[in-house]
Amino acid sequence: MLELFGILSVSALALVAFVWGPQRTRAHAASLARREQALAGIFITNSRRFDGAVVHPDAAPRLLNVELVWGVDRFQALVASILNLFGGELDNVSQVMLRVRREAILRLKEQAQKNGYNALTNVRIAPADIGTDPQKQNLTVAMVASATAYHRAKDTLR
Amino acid sequence: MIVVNTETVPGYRIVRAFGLVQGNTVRARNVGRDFLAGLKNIVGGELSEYTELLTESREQATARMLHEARQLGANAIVNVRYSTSTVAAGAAELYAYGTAVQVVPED
Repeated sequence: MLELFGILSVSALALVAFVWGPQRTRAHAASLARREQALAGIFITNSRRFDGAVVHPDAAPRLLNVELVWGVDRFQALVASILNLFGGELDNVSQVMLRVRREAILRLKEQAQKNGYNALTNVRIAPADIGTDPQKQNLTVAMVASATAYHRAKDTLR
Repeated sequence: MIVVNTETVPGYRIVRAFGLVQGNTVRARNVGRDFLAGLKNIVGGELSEYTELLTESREQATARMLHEARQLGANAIVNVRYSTSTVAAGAAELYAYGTAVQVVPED
């Protein structure tokens, strides 16, 4: 009886996610595309150099940070657990991770713009450990991103 | 205090290095946050309760690192890095570290 309840609850959650999950994914993808276009003017690199840097008297370079924790919906988590039995690429989870990284980069750019900077250097994006309980079935992606924001000369901008 | 994750600061020259400074915090999630995040996780998307927790942890670890640097007389920290590690189910450490230096504007 208890097992039946477990199967039913997992199926119900997966069904809810199947209906609502794709809508949220599409909305997020559209938001990413719109914001990426709006922030295309912010130069970004993972090199350690300050290409074209100008020393601004009012604003020295500054470290910016972004943290993100993202949940993979229950339907995609169920698909991933089934695919996991056979091995190979978990394409649906890969796509979520790519979107989370794009979101992290955008938030860095948004912070840079808000603080009057036009360039980011030494971008670092790494997975974060948030003490997830491996016993739980939730699939979560946690990232921390950092970069140094600076002023770049206009004649070196793309 | 100038804080960057690069080894140099444009427009400034490093005249003295004080060495490694660091700060950390170990934080646990709470039942309320777990419950809300669990509901959001059904349909996917950002789990803002956990994002905020990570941000608070990073801010506290950074503040401790800055305090150590100020005590040494530094006015900048270069090459700042962050790392996280799980210390128990539901609890994780966030560690911030960098090199405290004294910088002066270049002529």
